[in-house]
Parts: sequence; structure tokens; C-alpha cells
Amino acid sequence: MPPTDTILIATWGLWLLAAAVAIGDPRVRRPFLLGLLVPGLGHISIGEKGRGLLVMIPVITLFVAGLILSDFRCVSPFDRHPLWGVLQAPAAGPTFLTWGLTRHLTLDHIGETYQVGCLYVGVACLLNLVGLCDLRDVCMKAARRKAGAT
Amino acid sequence: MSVTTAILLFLPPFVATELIAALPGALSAREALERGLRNTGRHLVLWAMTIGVLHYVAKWVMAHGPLW
Repeated sequence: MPPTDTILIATWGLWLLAAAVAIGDPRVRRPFLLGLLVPGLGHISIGEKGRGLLVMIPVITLFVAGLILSDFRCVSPFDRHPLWGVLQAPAAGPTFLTWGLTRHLTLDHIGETYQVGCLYVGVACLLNLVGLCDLRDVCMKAARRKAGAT
Repeated sequence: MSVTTAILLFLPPFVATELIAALPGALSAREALERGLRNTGRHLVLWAMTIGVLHYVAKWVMAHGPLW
């Protein structure tokens, strides 16, 4: 097996394992899934509107800017860009939605800002991972407070 | 791509990273925003100083040859 495939399989396995651990905890499950589908929505769903907007606005702005810079061709986790796809997995909702909408596009030429666009989208998705880690912290703290109050 | 364009393109992910990286550990969104903006300014200055020093070191090496 080529080393690239090994890295891809190992990283996807790691993401799936991390997601399974988060989803397995009932205190985190619903907000985590919402945050995975729409960056920042998990925070908003537990009443942390400010934190949610602080995740949502930068992540979605960077994601859309990256798509524009790369002519809407940089999100394709299983055919055009499997390696970038690994970085894009933490924002599963926008990634798979964009992939579905841009599957018919082909990579005929690489423009001047194409790689910058790929980098923007990759950074946006990894920043959503930081947002999800913060969401888990907030949920756990709220659960501990609730347990202490009863 | 000109150097100015490259620097301008570098800024949005930089600012977004600083803002979201300030979230874990912050007690409120306001505190995270303030800390993120403060860190953005601080790290931009450090980044500009580093690039500036490297620029002059590179120019010196180009003019005089490598140090060894």
C-alpha cells in the first residue's frame, strides 16, 4: 500500500474514533453533531451565542473565501483532493455539502490563487476542530455545574 | 503574485486563527474576543519583526556570500 494511502486511512480512522468518543457521551452528543454540521451551531444550541458566533463567522468566512479563491474546486475528499480532504473532515457539514454541489466540476487548470484557496478551506475546517474542542469543554463544565447543584 | 498580495492573503487565516485559538480557557465570548484581538496585534508585530530581520539577513548573505 502506498504511504499516502496509509496516512489517509490512519487519519480518517483517527477522526472517526474522535467523533465516536464525542458522540458516545450523551452530555456532548447533540451540540457536537450540530457543531460538526454547521460551525458554531453547537455553541448556539447550548445557549453560548457569543462563542458560537466567534466560531461561525471566521470559519464560514474563510471557507467561502477559500472556495472563491480556488474556483470552487478545492473540496473533494475522495477524488480530486484526498489529502486536503483529511484536513476538511472536521467541518463535515460544509465539506460534504460543497463536495456534493461541486462534484461535476473538473480541475482543468490551476489558477494563481488555487493553492491559497485550498489552504483557506483547510485552515477553516481545522479551526472548527478547535471550536468543537471548546464546545466539549463548555458542555462538560455545564454538566459538572448541574451535577453539583443537584 | 506580488509580495503585498501574498501578505494580504495571509492576514485573514491569521486573524481567524488568533480569534478562535483564544476561545478555549476564556470564561466568556467577550473575553475570548478581547484576548484574540490583543494576540493578533502582538503576534503581527512579532511576525513583522521576524520577517524584517530575515529579509535583511538574506540581503546581507546575497551581498557577501554565505557565512561559512
